[in-house]
Amino acid sequence: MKFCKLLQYDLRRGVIRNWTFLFVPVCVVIICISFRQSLLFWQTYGFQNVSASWALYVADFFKGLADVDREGGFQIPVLWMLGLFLPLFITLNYPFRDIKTIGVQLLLRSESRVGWWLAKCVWCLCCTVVYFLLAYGTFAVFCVVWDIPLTLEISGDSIIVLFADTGVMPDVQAVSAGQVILTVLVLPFLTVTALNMLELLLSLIIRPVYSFLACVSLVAAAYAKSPILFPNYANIARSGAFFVTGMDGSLGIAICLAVVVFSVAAGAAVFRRWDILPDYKEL
Amino acid sequence: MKRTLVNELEKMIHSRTLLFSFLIGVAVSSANVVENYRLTKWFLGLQELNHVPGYGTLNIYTNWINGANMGMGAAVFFVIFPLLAAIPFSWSLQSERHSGYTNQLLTRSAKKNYLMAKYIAVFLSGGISVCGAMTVNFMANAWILPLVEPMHILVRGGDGMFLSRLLFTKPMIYIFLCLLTSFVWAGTLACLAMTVGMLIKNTVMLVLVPFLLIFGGSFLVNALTPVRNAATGFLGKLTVNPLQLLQAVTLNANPAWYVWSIQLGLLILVSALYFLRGMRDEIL
Repeated sequence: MKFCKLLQYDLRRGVIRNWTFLFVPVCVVIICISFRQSLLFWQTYGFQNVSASWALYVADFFKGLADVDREGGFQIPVLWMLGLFLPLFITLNYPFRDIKTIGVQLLLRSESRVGWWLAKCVWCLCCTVVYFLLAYGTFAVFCVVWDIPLTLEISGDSIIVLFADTGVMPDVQAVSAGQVILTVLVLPFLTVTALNMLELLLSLIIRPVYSFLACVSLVAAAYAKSPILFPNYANIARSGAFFVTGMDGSLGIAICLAVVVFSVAAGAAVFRRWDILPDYKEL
Repeated sequence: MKRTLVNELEKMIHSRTLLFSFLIGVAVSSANVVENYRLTKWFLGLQELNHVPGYGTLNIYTNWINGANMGMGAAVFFVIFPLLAAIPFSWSLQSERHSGYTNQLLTRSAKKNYLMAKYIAVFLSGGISVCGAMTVNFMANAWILPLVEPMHILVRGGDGMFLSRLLFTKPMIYIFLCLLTSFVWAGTLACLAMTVGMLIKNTVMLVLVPFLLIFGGSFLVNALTPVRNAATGFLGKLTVNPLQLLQAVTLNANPAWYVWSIQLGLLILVSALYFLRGMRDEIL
């Protein structure tokens, strides 16, 4: 009961009143306009059969960067990073602003540190769900407005055009709806959940700013194609569904879930001994 | 003024956050050193096998962190550059105001002096953190990479790039000017965070502001170009991507006059906002 009340409070203060969620539709609309321009460009230059779909737009959001050739030019994949940084930013501040203010009173009255921590973990998960619902919903609204079918189809010229600006040619002609769900919807969601949970855990051990810095570095480190650097699994340009040498999606699910479980368990253990009194020292 | 400045500089130098930020910068940029070590090993193996003369692209001037524009070390370092600049000391003005320390100082020293001393200390903190890490990276790379002048046909950094003439004629001066430019970027971003701290209460947000601005600007530039990632330039030539402006070697042209003009403009803007707001603000 106490846990439910804590969670209800967190959802009201940390989700409904969290104004940073407003950035999500704004960024998604900019990305949609940009991708539409890109599609029009490629249609003019020989790819007349490109069939845009809702899934293609979402895939563009998490497209990322292909394997990098050291001798070629390199540009930091800002659009892909945004998809992972934005939820990190949204979930960064609330838990520790809360514990330094009214949250400490709630914690004392709830008489359960683990309950408080679990409520924050569920809040973090809810934030991720809301983030994806907002993003996918905005993509859907954009598609409805521009008369683009709300389907999971990514095939033919669409695949080539999707990866055109990453400089790689996909190894497949079409991907099934199941693979699209796994690669475009499930893996980015799990990766973002794992990153958010890791950020929440690190905020306990080091401070929120350093936690954000660590997670941003982890995402940027996905320049290297390594299975340990799990943000790679949200990178469609390195997915096994599109490339023979791509990353294994099932391993990605296992690693992301392991990070989530570890973060929750380690956080509960750390928070039992965590000093909840305000600290006015340096940042 | 002198006493206030010395006091602020002492606080800045002894700040744990400056040390942390510097160490994080060194740790991240060390990935670049490891990559260069692997590259050198691979090249030497190839040279032994095929008896290739010369060093090819292997030289310190185009492979250290600000000359690379490639590799994980450089990618991570330039993404977190604004955070490394803002973390060391930009929060101090807001923190001192909240704790009441500013009130104590202002009864003993002129407000103008206090603001000026704080500005200098914060500017230097950003510069020392970022530029210090880059200097360590250059020195570490000097253990591995040969100190030979780069050949213009083999490396990026040619016509239209930042101080390209110096890179091929006086490379050490080029490195010094690259470090100086990064120092000014970092200092300006740290002062920008401090200025924003006069308007918002949240210390975490204050530190994130330069990162959000640089990343947000880069996102807009990337998203609004007709074919993404293929062209990040303005007028088809100069780079306007803020994330690329922090680097010496980019995909689009970034001549020195262009980079320094933007730096100067931003510095004047930040300074004007800081002093105007600071002098008008009722602290006591």
